Amino acid sequence: MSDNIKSIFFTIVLCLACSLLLTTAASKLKPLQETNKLVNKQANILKAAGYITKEQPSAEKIKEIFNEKIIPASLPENPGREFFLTYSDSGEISGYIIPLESKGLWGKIYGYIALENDGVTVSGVSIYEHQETPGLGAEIEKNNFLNNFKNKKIISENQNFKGIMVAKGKVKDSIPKNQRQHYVDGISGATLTGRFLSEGLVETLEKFEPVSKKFRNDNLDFKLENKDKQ
Amino acid sequence: MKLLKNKYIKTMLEPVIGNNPINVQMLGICSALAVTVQLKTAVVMGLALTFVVTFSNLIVSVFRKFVPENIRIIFELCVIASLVILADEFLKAYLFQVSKQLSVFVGLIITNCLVMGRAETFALGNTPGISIMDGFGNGLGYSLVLIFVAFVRELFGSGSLFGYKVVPQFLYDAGYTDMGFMLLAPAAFIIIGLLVWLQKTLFKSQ
Repeated sequence: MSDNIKSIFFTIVLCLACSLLLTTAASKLKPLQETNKLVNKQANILKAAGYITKEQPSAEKIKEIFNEKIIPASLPENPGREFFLTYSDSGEISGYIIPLESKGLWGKIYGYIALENDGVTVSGVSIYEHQETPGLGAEIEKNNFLNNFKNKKIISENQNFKGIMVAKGKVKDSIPKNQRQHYVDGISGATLTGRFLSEGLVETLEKFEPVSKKFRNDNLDFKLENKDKQ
Repeated sequence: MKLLKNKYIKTMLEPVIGNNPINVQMLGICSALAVTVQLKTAVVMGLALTFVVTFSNLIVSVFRKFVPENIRIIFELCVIASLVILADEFLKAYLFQVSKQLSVFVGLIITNCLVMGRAETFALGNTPGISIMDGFGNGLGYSLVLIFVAFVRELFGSGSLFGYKVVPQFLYDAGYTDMGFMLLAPAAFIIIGLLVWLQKTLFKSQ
């Protein structure tokens, strides 16, 4: 009996010691980790917008480009729903970036979708957080997958909303010709991830349709947000 | 050669060359396949594992006389898991990009049989000093194999080392192409297989 009590006592002390150590480490390192996450987010906004292509620049550089090129904004009638505007060198709005949130196979997928100022054409997509299977679903964050999104259209020729979807397999094998502008090639071995991501993409684009409509109607009255909030 | 006779040095060097955890004990192969596409991730993974196995050996060895026999595995796991989480948190804070690439594999050090194996077979029966050396040596042996595999894979797969291009442009112009196969997991299998073969031939006595 005393052996059991000794074991239980030892376990309790062990658990306390371990949790104390981990809690201290986690709380001490949190500010650094948060900064890293923020920089990672900004880097992905820039990536979606095409300002960063391959190599990831340093954190300072990312902040600098971000502050220079990206302006947070929202709709006057819906201030909570934030997105980002990009400006061309001549000072005109060149496009907008909306945050992507999607279900995934194992957890949520987060990223950004950049669209051109016609409110129809996708200029880029980036993904910064997901829990998909390494080697299969996790390929969604790779450029060979993401580059396919460029120049896809979220609106069909007769002006109906379609969104962007991930095809099962190659687009040219499975999708009829007049639909191909709404589909990107899927990843083999990651059909479910593709299906969830399609749903998420359509949902997100639908949520931001009011914004896209404004771009299509050339009615650009956005509420610009204070940058320091970001 | 007096140095080599030293008990501590001997314990440390043995797993590096003779009794290598990957090549001979066949432990930790899973992560060796996954994180060896680039040298950078392989080095960080090696460091993280060396840290974990060294300190888990130390802690397990220090407490070996107090740990009740019936919960020793729980104790080992607790120590290892805490150390791994600690390493993971530090990576996330100081080496964010690398930690993103390593993704789940840092967490999976917990289940790396190498760490548990050393705690169970060595640290439980030896003094702290020599246990540290054993842990460090095993981590080193693991890292060396990882770094070698990553070196071959990155050099032939992407033509670069640590992300810097080393294959000169004129070779590409002359028709040289990177070996895409090297970037896939089976390539690591083949390289490790060749390493095992090499080791078996060089140290025939085993």
